[in-house]
Amino acid sequence: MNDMIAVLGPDSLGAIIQQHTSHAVQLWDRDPHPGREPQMIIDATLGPVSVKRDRLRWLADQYPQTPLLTASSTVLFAAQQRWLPVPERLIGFDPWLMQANARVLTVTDREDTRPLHQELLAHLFPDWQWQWVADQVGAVFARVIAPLVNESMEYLSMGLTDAEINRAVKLGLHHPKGPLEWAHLFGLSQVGLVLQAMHRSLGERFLPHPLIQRQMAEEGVDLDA
Amino acid sequence: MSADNLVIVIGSGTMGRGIAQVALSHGFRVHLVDPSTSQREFAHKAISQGIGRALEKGQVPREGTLGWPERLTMGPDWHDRDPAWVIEAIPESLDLKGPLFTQLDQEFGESVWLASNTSSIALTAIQGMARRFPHRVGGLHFFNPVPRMALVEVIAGMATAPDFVTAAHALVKQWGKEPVTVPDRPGFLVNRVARPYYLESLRMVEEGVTDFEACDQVFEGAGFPMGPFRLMDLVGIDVNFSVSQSVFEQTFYDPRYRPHALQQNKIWLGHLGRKSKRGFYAYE
Repeated sequence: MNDMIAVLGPDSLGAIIQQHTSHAVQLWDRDPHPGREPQMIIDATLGPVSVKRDRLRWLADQYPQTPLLTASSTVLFAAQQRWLPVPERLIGFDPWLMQANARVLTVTDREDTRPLHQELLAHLFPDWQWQWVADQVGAVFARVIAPLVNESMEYLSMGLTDAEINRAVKLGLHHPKGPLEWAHLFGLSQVGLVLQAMHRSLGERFLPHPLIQRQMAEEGVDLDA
Repeated sequence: MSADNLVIVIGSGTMGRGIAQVALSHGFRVHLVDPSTSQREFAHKAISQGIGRALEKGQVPREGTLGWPERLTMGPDWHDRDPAWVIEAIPESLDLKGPLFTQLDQEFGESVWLASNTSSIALTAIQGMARRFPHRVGGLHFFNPVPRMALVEVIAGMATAPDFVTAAHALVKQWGKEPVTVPDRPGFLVNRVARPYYLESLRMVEEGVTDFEACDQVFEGAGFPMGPFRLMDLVGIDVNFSVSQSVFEQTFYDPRYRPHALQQNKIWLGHLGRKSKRGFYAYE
């Protein structure tokens, strides 16, 4: 097995992950590199669901030994397990915490595989703390940040600027980033994907704001695309 | 008294005396109104200590604080004074604020700006109680603790004159703070955008997704100074609950802002946070 960790996701993620591991990190684009079996594959993509499913199946087939850390913010971990012939290789996680360069990351897996995964994650990323959470879309960070961005869209549509909204939230609440800065970091349409998933799974209150829906339409981004 | 830089602050609770302290620290004259003698005495002591601490830490310009005791008067009413501003900071209830603004509107001339420090009541509702000159009524929402928090939300109700906003920005800047004009909607901007931080966290704990300590660790690990539960304990679970309730009611029961039963239960038990030594966490 190669000593490298492969990452599928936004460009910025590779550099962040590299800060937390002594293993080489390689950013894979949409066409992974056959033949090189990494230590771990991190799929930080949120959708569309069908693309994510096909990619995970392909990765599981090409790299039969490699553990897969997969974003479970938009598709339940349990559902993703059902896509694979060897589901115990799978660990769910929230990629936004990685992108936010957080100290504590949340993960979801099966209880029977947890000791193995704890050991593996501690070995690969010794300075990250891992918090195990139940299997639910958005849990925990994205569940709060996505609606926070959604709320702020209303103020944009009323004529406030990004800077005013960010400034008010940072000064009034001491959040490390304003809502529009989170949106910029993760991508507004990616926020839309998380909201879409939570809207389906958790209720009406997560309906993406029309401005987010428009952005998603313009970019052709949709969970069902 | 001249109107040049006299501010009347009504209510000497945490917010009122904080506003008074900031004004006094920047060369303004203040008349602090509170019907309770003991409350006024307490406020005077708190302001004195607050200015002393701020000076020690270099948080206020020394020249702004010079002679502040001579610039502070206190009393049970505001009669026979000629202020530039009247800032109301009484408890968060339209039943209390409404009649007060009716009275202020009757007693002060059109050139006196009347501001409410409400954190969640619609300004237009308050303005509706000041029928004589509603255009000089608006919101100045300070954050707690006032001397340390830089932001002030400036709120124009439906009938507020643009001049109010201009004057409010100038005043807030003179006090070393940063004004942001926000729309007159329930929770204005900050309290509205903050709702998911608390409410979704409460829901996740109830749903068993995580526990409150782990939830706090996740957010604190991402750079938030306090996780949602630690912050609710600091602010007061009852205070946080009442803001959610106010936003929920004023949005005609939008489910996004539905207050959470876990908070209600804590309030029933008297577990209000740090101030009662017990909230989500226990405090010695």
